[in-house]
Amino acid sequence: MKRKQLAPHIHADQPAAERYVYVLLALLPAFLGAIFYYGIRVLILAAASMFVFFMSDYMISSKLYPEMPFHVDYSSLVSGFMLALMVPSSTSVWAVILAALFGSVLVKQAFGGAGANIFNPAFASRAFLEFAFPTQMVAAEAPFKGIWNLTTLLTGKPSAESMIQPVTSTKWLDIFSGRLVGMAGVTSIVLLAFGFLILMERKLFRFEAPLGYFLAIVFGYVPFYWDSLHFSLFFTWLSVGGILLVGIFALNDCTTMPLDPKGRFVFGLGAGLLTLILYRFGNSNYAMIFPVLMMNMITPIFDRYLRPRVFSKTAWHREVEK
Amino acid sequence: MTRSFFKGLTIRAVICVILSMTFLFSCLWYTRSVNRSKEQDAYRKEYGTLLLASKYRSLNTDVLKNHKDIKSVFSAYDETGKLIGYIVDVETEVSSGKIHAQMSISENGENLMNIRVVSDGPEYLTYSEEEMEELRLQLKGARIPVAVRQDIASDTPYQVDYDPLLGLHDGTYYARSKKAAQDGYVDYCEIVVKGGRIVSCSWDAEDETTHKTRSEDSISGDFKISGNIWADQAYRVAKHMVLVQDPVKLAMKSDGKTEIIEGVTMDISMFVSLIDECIANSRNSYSKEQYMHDHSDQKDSEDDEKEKDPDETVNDNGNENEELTPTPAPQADPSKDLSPTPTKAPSQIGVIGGEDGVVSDGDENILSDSVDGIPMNEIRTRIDGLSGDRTRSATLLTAVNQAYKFIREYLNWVG
Repeated sequence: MKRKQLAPHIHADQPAAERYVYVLLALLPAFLGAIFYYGIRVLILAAASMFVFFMSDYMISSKLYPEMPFHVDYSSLVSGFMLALMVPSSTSVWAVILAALFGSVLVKQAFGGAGANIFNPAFASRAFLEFAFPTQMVAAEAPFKGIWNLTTLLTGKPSAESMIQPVTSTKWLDIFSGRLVGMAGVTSIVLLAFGFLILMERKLFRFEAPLGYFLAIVFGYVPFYWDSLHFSLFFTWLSVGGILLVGIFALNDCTTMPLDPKGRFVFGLGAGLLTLILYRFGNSNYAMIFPVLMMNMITPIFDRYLRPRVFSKTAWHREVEK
Repeated sequence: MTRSFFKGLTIRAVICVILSMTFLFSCLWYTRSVNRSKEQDAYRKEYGTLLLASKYRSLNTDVLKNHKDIKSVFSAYDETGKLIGYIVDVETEVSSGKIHAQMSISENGENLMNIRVVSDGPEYLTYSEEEMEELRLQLKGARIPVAVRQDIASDTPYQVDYDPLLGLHDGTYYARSKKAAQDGYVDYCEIVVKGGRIVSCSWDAEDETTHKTRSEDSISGDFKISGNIWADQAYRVAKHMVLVQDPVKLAMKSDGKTEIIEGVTMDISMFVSLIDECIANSRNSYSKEQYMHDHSDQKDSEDDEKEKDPDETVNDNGNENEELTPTPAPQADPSKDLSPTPTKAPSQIGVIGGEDGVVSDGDENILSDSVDGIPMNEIRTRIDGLSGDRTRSATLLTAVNQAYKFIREYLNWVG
């Protein structure tokens, strides 16, 4: 007998909670890297973000959607975790709490709760921070600077000194290990790749959208940056720009993706192209977040025109008919 | 969620944490080791001509806060990790202009090993290669601090606010304690009288066993007292004596201390007693030369007596004789020339005070004034400097002396 599940995993064999716990585990290496480079502040930000997301979702869904089989939604924890990784380590805890509330209440629960949201809640929360606290979002600290400076949790203002990246002699190692000025948990290519391997191992990775996204990024980078082509710059951009986090985790969100594999591929292509356009010609601060949200917005169109066609009944249908 | 799920999750989480942390720490270790190696290469390239070392380490000490002219200091080590010296980067401004000098100093802080001047702009003093070579020739290996010879040979300026004591005869006068103090040093004082006025004064003491002076030991940290180092306090007392002319005006209290000289907290009773003797000698025209001659004769005869019959030096109570009977001072001879001994030829590099603390003859060890804020009795080497350009020579030596002051304080601080 099929167990009751929260959307969008109603038909999945594996319990939704277990899937989300493994996604959390896949994010753990990047999170450890963030703590390693920026200190315990990241842990506090993550704890606050996850707690607010989870409690807000639980309380609102209990009140608004009593018919739901569960009100304990582990996807809230994933959203909270991702939000903490996508902000500079010096972000104030108040800003993160407000963003988490925005994501939970206005982006997720207002649209029907788990499995019904149009936008990725973590990315929508991050976009909220970009508009509400723009100065905090651009004030990224350099790794190992201000590790013990807990006052930024209240003020959101890092010292000017802590934002200066020291020159090291191991550029490639810095790029792959994430020792660069950027958001707390998006810079390490290797640690995010660890997360990718965990998702692959648990069969939680659907490759269509990420494939489209990375193809657009890799092949689009050459014409877009023809005048300043450089191999190390490309990898630095992948690292600092949060491209890997978007490709591996954001474009793997079942709720906000098109249903059809072709639709997901086109979705990824579109997100990749928008990213390139925003980085090259627009505001690069928006280039990580807004392509995903813009593509989320047109997901219903993909689902309308690229709906999967049912050719035969499933084994379950046949069993029921017997 | 089942137990097997938690088991699988835990195993994966542990592997994940171990792999992530191993990766991060490995990257950090590798980056640091590469950076350190490149940093050392850069240091070697920059400072190798001053002092070639296997490893340079930047000194971050609170002592630097007291020395604004010191831009940076590095300690240099050989392959075995043994300290071989210091690299000091000094940028100082004097009336003649700015100077930026880098120098290497021996590990004990006593000798200048090499020096060069860096030109950071038109406002900085520059030296041609020939000039630097000439200065290096005189400075390499020299004990620091250093002064230009003319600085010392010139007439000593003095203040004339206080009236001099009556009856003083011009000349150099000396007095030495008859016995060692509790700390094992034998104190001695010297004054120079010109025009009936005390124009310079010095106070030091010599260890009977090591023959090192107390000021040397205080600078090296072997002799410690509360407050400023002994050499500094002695200099202040002597300087004040030149100012006030009369030991009574030092306002010594019954405990041997004075409160009117800033920075002096030690007992000055020995100094006052010796200065009284010097003044008496001056009044009697009993010159230093005569004093030294008489006392060396007396010491020799005493030593002879000791060899013959040691019991004779013990009094009735069985105690050792504590005092030597002073030789009567000869009467003043107005025809006698009591002017100070002429200084050495300018081309000769003189060193004041050897390792054994014995000072040279004449007035070279006289505490007449200070150079770059360093008491004259601390100056260890005098050089001629650039021929015909005393000012630029002195400017470079100012940088050297700033480095010396830092190293002195740093080594004292390190203990």
